[in-house]
Amino acid sequence: MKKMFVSLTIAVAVLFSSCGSAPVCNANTQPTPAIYEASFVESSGTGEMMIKSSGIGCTMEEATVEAKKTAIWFVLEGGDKPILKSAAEKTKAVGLAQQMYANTAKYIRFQSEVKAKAKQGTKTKLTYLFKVDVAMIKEELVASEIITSEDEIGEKIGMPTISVFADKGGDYAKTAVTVMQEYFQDNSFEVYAAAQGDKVNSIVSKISTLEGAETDPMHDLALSLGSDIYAKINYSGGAGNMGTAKASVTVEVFETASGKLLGSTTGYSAERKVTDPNALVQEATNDASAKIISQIKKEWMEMAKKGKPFKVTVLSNSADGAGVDEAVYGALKKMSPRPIKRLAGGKSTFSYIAYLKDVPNAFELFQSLKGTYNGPGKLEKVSDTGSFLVFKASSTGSIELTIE
Amino acid sequence: MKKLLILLGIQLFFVSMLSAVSDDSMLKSDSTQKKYERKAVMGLADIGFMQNSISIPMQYCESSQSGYRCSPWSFTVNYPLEYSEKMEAAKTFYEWTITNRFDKIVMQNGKAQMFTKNGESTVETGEYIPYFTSGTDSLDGFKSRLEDYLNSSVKNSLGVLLDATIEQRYKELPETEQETFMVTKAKELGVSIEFIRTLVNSSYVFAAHVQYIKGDGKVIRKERKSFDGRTVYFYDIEFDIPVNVTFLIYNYNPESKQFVLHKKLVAMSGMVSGSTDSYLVIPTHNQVMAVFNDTFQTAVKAAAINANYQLKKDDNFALFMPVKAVNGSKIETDFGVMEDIRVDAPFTVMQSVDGKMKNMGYVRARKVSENCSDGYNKPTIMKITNGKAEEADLLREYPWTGLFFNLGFGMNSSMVQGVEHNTVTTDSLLDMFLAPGLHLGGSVDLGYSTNSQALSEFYLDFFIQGSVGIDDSSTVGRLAWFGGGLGLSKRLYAGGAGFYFAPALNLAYEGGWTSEDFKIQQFIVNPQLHFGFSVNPSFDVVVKGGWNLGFITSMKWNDINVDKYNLLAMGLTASLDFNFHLPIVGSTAKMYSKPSDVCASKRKK
Repeated sequence: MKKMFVSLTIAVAVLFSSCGSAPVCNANTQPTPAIYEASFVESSGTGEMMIKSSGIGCTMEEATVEAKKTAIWFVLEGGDKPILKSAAEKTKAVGLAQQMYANTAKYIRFQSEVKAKAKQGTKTKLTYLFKVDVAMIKEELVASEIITSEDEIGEKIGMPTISVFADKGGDYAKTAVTVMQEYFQDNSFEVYAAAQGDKVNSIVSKISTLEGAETDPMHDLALSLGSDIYAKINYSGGAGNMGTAKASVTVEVFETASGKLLGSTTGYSAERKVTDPNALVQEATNDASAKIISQIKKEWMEMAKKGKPFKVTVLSNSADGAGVDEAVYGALKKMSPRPIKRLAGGKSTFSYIAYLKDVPNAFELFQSLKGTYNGPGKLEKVSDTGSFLVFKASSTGSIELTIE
Repeated sequence: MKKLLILLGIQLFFVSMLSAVSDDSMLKSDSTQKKYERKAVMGLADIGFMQNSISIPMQYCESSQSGYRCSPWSFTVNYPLEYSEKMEAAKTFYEWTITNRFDKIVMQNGKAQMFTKNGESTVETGEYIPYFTSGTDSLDGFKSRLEDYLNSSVKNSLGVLLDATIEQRYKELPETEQETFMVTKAKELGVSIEFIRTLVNSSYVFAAHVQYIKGDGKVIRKERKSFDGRTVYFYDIEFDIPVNVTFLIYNYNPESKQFVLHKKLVAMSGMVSGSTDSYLVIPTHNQVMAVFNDTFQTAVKAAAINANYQLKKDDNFALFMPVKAVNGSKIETDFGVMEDIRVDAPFTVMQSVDGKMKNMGYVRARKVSENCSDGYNKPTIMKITNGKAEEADLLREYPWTGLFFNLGFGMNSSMVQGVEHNTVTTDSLLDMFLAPGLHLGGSVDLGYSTNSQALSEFYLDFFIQGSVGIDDSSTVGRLAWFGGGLGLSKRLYAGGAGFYFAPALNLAYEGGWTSEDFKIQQFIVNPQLHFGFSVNPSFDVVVKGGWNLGFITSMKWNDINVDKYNLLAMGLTASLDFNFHLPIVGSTAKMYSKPSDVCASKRKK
């Protein structure tokens, strides 16, 4: 009887306690975000990014704080262009990232109204748009020596010089070129603008002919201008069915020295009703610019680690050619751990592509080669433009390529 | 030519919204934060009728103690449905269906006047929009003619109008989204196809077709006794006219470039009765026509109010908006008079719970924002009456008319006391009457119907009541009562559980009689207190308690007047009532004020 009474008492107590207790909600006590749902919306300038992110919490306030943390996380580590790219950087940034999560207000410039709200169990999930000051985050990461600043990269190998050319699309492509040039300049690139009537210089022209490959006039012009990189712009547009039009701009970016494709992308405008189609071209180019710039920077940073490409052309004669070729190739080989690429030439003219670290420009490359060269005759510089070096080498001083 | 039923105006409305930018899906809120987007509606003023005129043969009736009998009268009401009559009916229909929540363009030859949230402007359309002539036809015939018109003549002109209005609409993008680069750029660059598509997709055409109207009309002679004992005759005019209107709502499909039927709704007025103050002489034909006119316009208005109710059932036309802030039992939200929110209008609070939208409760508008322009930032204040609401919950407009059918079961008790020679007798003259009974009637929210904040949650009740005595202790036998009256109550909601209490006052007149030939009549003043539970805005359960104070006007026993005393009948009353929402407002349409025109008035100043 007593047992029964005790059992009944416990059962009633359990029943009442379970009826009376509200479900427990556990707040996120970790400094990192509770969830990682975020996406890139737009880059509203070189220093800011609009991110759509979600946060979950026991209260609206907590969910809002979490959403902000998620936005910061996205800029640091999320998406396809995070600031922290390597595992090592992420490890080094743990402490600073946590400080950033704890002080999101410092980095968030705009917060939208709630874009989505959902209850998940005892928690509330909220989604917002945030404008994040990416530049400030980068500065702090650089100051903490977690990432390398772009300036530092620039100091090592120099920021690339770029030429932008209109390929197809007539006047609209020219509008796109202007917009793209502005964008590159805003991003610390040195832009070589090809003026109306600029021609490929005769050395480049003759060397291209000698190499025998199908020549790309824009590549040759970029070599002539001395740009490290060149971009080709293609425009295409079309009319919609409601009195509207849309534009697309394709950008292909090449390494000038090697002709290697560094990246390509297509930007699109919205389909709009406009009075001047150039507005659409501008919109499409803006879209493409934002996409291509990160590709170029990524490749250029790789170059800082692995070596910047140079095209080296040596002019000689049939008598000295073999010796010169062997000596120059050997000298370049000593300067680079990477294979030296030989381009088609002749018996008296030779071209090479070499990836060289810590050599900022063609002039310094010439100086280095001059010191280590042990072939026939002496080296005499013909031209150095950007990453393209042309010099003469012969025991007699005569070369077989006629240069006007 | 003048008699042709020509097009009065074509009204177009446009959207102003975030989706104006190209890749706006990223910027836009999801369905949990859905926000009403202004729509474009073209209303065809030339409404269709199935008859050229309304014809109602009048009856002449005599009502006396000996009975009620009717015979055909010499006069038949003949109401022509010509241009001016149609325009008047159209004005009422569209006043209630194409409300402030839509932008509109009134189109004239070669130009169009645009009315948007931020003002009005005139656009040169440069084209002549042909008139639509509804004719007199069946619904099918009307529909066929309408579709021919829409898909031939107007659709080309529509494009011209859209072009002309896009720029203005674009300037009205929500401020919040202007922060984004996309929107800024979009504004600089031009108008995106998404905007145009939404604009066109949100363009509707409203057309109305009135079903065959039949009705009853009577001139009734009533007999009464004058103070000096003479028999006096009064004449009343009474009409019962139901008006049913089919609204055809078309949506423009930009892909097929055709107007496609989006919705067909049949709006009903219910039986609308109208009568006049009594005439001492038989009324003239003009007086009869005046009563008809008044009743017919009320019926048109009742049908329009029903259409307004039905439109709110459609998610395309109902208001959706997120809760901006919560302050105790009050919430703040955007939207206001420009979206035709009326005082006491109920909204459902919704929340996404584990992936499904759930009903969390109800709120009712208290102070409606006069948001005549974007610069006006005072929110609409609503009160949580049921459940709970949090910031960023979703509000959905609850289709409502503010009118209820009321059914109640109760018990009345009264004890008759008399005052003789200014001295109150302490003994009761008659024993306690106990009479269970029922009452039924209507109850209308005056705050909603008049759209007046001062009358918020004031309910006007009208009822008839009857009860049967169950007490055998009285020497006069068991009393049966029958009567009717009016009541006024003010609801005060307590918390968010749906409970409310309401001080109330009922005034009624009723008569009672017993099998012992005892007859009594009394005017009743009945102060009450109601304790109610609003299950939802469509259904209430109410417990009512009150004190019956009956001023007896007549008491006879075996045809002998008991006039020695000034008599009072006093006692407790209690009842259990149920209120059921009525979407058809019938004769109460007269009590409804038009949607707010505060913004139009402000603009005129």
